[in-house]
Amino acid sequence: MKKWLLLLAIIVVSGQAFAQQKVKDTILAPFFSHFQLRQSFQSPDAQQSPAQLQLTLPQQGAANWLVDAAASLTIGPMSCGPFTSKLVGEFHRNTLADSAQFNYQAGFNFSWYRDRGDNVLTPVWTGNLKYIRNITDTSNNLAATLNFTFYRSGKHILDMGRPGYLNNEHFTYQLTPSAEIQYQQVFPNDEQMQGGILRPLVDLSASIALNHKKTKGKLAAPSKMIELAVDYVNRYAVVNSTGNKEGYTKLFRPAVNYYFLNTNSSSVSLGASYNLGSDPLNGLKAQQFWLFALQVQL
Amino acid sequence: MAISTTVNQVKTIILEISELDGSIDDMDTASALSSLGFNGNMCNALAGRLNNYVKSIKVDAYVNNAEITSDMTVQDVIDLVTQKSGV
Repeated sequence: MKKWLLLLAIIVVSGQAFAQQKVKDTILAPFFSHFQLRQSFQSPDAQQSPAQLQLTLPQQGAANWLVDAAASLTIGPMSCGPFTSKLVGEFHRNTLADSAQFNYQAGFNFSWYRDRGDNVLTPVWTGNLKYIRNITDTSNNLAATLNFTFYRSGKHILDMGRPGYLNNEHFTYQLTPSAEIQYQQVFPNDEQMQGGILRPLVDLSASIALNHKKTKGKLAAPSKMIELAVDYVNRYAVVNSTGNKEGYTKLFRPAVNYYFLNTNSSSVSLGASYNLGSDPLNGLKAQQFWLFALQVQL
Repeated sequence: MAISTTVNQVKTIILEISELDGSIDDMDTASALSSLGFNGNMCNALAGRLNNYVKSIKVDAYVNNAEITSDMTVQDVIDLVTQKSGV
């Protein structure tokens, strides 16, 4: 029942944000200041990570539904200077990939960023402390993650952690490499499998988009038309006392996204991606599948 | 300090971070930062530079990263800066 309540909460709060756009207009205003909808908050805000909804076509089995989404609320009273804290809830369910994914999470997210100006590499730290329920292997988990990446901006240099523009804004590119360390304490039904996993990982994320022709008039970022994106994650469980024999794992995800709606504060796209590998913390078992999904980012 | 100076200064900072080709005269104050291409990191960079700006006017004023979000409009940012700096 809890999982449905979490999903319902994500949908309701999403709908409220769609309708009202700003948390400051709601009863949550004294405590929370900003709502976001993405695929996950494990990585920094900069990374392209739209929530995914709709349809899978796995190698075996029939098509079925997919929800791969996360929502956050910024906690105003617990954010100060370069430090920002959020409450996050995540729901990852893919019913008929060869190995089903069914995982939900709730917890605390923080980020730390102190601006150092243009043309320099500025460190960005993102961390999470959260409870994870993995339905497919009936385990409860406590997890702590710490992600490190760089932000760099400035005209005529290679931007990182933000969109950059090429060829008179005909193209938009984004590079977001990051390193992360994850600690996962697993409490499965089988006490023999109880234990902890420590995983360092590297994540290389890049995209390039062909934009719609720029219109004259008011200043605006070029709106994307079609985008090629790739995300490659490589991890190794340097400590694993659970007995599940997890060692080296990876996730390779090239994708094509077609943007059909770009509003003032959100984008909606159709995405086709090939997924090869696993994501143990998010309950995705090692496999490969094609994914066609409606993608929303607020 | 005149309000128009602050408005132009805030718009200039936003334009510099956006890296878009154009001038502050083309910037609509009703535009959301996200429509100017701002993501989370860019909002943090904007907060840092606005923080330096308001401190140059009023020493004990500050702008937190969490106060700048991509759904804010340019006018929201101007209002925040004028409120913080007391212009």
